[in-house]
Amino acid sequence: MRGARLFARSLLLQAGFSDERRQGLGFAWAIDPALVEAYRGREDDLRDARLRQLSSFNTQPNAVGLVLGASAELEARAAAGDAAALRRAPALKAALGAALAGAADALFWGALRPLAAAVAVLAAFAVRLCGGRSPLLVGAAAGLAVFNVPALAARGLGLERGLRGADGAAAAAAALPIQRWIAAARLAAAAAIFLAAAAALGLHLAGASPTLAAASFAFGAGLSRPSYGPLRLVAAAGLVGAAASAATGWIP
Amino acid sequence: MIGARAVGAAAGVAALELDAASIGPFLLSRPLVAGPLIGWLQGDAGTGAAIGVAFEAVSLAELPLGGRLELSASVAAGTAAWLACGGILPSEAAFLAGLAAGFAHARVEARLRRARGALARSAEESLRSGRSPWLGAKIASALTVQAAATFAVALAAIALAGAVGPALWSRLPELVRVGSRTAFIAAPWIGAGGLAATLMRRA
Repeated sequence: MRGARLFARSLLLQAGFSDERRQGLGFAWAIDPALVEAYRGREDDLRDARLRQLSSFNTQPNAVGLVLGASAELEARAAAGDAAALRRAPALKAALGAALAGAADALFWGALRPLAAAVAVLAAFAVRLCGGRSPLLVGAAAGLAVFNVPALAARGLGLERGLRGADGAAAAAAALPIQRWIAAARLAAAAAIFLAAAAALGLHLAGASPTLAAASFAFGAGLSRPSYGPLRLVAAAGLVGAAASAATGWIP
Repeated sequence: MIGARAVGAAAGVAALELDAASIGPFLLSRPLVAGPLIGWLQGDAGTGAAIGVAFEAVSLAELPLGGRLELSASVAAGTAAWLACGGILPSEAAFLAGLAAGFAHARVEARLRRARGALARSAEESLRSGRSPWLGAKIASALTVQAAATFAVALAAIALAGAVGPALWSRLPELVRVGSRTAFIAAPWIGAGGLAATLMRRA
């Protein structure tokens, strides 16, 4: 039940996000049931633990489970008299959070999120092609599942692993083949985007002439650098369209 | 005059936006969900989906790393979907209005994030004074203020765009309208192409 409470509260990790403490307030609230249990009857120690956990903290939200579990386990050991655990707790929390953030950002934001979007579009097209009902609803559900199943699993399994032992938590996280998962998810997302684009053209759902659609896709692909950004390219496309219309009378 | 349905739509956008950076995330705030959902409220989920795809494609490349936030995609998509699906503005004009609302909300969000540091400091003061930190109440307060701010931005955008948008749009030179239409049509394809290339490069 403690794990379930921590899991549920971790979903509000970002609720009080601030420039000053980042997720510090949310983390302190999420871990609070574990602190109350560990320091039951010891108000001064509970106060000190709460102050410790209000420090600045930041990680990818779906990766917080492992940090939360490990921190709760260390606090429980500290409450039982383990002075080394008390000394380690702040450093381990910060180090785990930072280490997981980079890989989890690449996995969830950089790979799974675009994969979910592409799958949503593909699923909607597939339902429409088959004459099924509610293609938009099915598409949204498919996309949400692609992201949320691994996200919630990472949060829950990470929490459970951290609660089992903070000492092995970092090693367990390091042993995961996260980079392979990221690469696989990125390739799958790229393939899904190409498929969705082909399906849109094939089903005449491009919203544009095939020539304009293909040219825009190539334009975006050819100039896909962070310095440009898609919105700048969209603005440029608008200017080109206006110029083409002025020169030739073309209408999109 | 703002109708009850517009108020409901703004409230819906505010609820969905909480998923963007306060709760979860579960991706319920993404344009691919917000666009069709708000469009469905206007009786045109299909146009809402087209709006959603456009905003999804141009906002997916923006990663919310370390709290970075340039455009609130959910506010942008929800506002634009309401305006386009209700026939208030053509899709390309609604797209521009949505972008403006999304950028405006991101600025409001930035101010809220600067101000929220006071919540943790207040909790610390309470603890040091021997009082309860009331962490749950602070979390609830942060969520309430966030939702209220988003509601206000979405409603203001819908009201303003609805009041002056149609007249303003009709007065714009034809070339501006053609350019906007081109940009809106090309947006999903540019975004998709850029994303596919970036993903393959990094894989």
